[in-house]
Amino acid sequence: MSPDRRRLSVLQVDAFTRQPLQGNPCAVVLDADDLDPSTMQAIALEMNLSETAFVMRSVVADFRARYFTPAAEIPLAGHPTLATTRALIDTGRLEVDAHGTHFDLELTDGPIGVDVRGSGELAEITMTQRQPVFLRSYVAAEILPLFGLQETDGLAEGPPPQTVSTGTPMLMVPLRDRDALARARLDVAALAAALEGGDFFSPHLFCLDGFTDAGATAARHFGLPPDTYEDPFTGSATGASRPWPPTAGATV
Amino acid sequence: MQLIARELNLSETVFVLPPDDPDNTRKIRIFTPVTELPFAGHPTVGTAFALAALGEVETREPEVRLVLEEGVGPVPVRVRCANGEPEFAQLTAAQPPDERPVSTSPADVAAVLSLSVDDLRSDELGVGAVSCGLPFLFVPLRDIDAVRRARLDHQAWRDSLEHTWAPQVFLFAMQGERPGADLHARMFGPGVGIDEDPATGSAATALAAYLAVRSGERDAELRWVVEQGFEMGRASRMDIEAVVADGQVVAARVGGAAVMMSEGTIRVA
Repeated sequence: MSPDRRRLSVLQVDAFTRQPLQGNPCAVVLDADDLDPSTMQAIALEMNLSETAFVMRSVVADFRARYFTPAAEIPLAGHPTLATTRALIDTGRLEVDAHGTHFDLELTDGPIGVDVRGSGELAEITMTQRQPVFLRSYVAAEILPLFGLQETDGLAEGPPPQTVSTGTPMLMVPLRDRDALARARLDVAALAAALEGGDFFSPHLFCLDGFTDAGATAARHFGLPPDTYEDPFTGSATGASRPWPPTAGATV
Repeated sequence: MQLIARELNLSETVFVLPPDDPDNTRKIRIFTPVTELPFAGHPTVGTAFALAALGEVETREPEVRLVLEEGVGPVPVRVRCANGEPEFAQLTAAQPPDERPVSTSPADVAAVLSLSVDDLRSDELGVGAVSCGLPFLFVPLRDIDAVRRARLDHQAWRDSLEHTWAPQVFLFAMQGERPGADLHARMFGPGVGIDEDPATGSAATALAAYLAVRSGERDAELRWVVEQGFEMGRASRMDIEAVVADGQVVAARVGGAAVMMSEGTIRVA
């Protein structure tokens, strides 16, 4: 092995679970201050996870992080924020106490607040997303076929599919029930065309009815290569779907 | 093992075990994020390279010979070393090449690649289906530009190739982008959950056999340099060889360099 190559610490963290090999994996590269964005992008492509986080020093917050999918940088994302926080705690960079800890994390568009409740393996991490911004509304009949669904699979009463952003614009697609959600099948070419003319980074399909008794909503999140076709749990999109029907304020 | 491969989400993850036969070097099991494979080229080359780089096998000689036990049988691998460091690893396919007739029309194959039938070569290098452990559909294109323009049409693939013997598509042109390269290639593997692969060793061994059969040579050792992964921003180079004796392909080989990118520990439940 070449000893002259630079070495960086990378941790892989499964977010939104307490069980290794479940949840949504994210790579966290520490002390990434000197990396240029093209190297960050190449590392994110190499790791091939839905996101890779790069953690740096910040002058305006406690830490700074940049998030890359295999295809592009995104300004805000939920599961990398949880993964970054977990990595900061596990490597002793962030000290937490059992009464609760708050810190500011600088993302591309500015800082967000992150709260940690408890400590150790059981610590619960909450990020407060920015005020949602409601963007373009779509007609259900033009969006649902992207997922092999009919217009009747949409939520009959309620708002139409709409792009909502708490940092990264996501297309919120409300569905009638879990059955419609389960039947969704991505039409790759159609989504590619829709992304080209759309105002969203990726689509988030959900229904107001969870898979288990503990869940109030169930969701699926889609993407295109080199990004992952389906993301196991998408924090920022879930935060953006919380003010549904659109009102304001969201935490994940 | 399957859960770990899914977590790492690379095209393949290899698990190294003691060999069943003590004369062999190691037994390996290869998993994609969704399934186990009986054989795969780049995991075999990568594992041999890693074993040499980590000192698990002796690297004082300029050439080290390993045998890795895989689902298809024992796979011989040669590792070229300099100053105790591995430089190049080459595997010989465990299975003799198996070529089968292709019933899909050139027009349907072109449609899968979002190309016109004119982009396919119409000479002796026709579409062929060959396996050296895993079957691939080899699609020779007219030029490198056609290779770059190709896009997998999932619906067309489901309609014409999904249920055939060789559903994974290896497309190539007989010209390289970089000096010294003979072929420029891409691989679309929707049937194994891989949209595009940057360097497909198992396809490259079968490609050597495919090219050798069509070379007209009866007794020869033939070599080609294959580029792959350029369109994904992951330039790779594979050196392939075929040995022809009495008009039969008796060996197909693929080799290449490899570099250590990371190492570490994982925590499992």
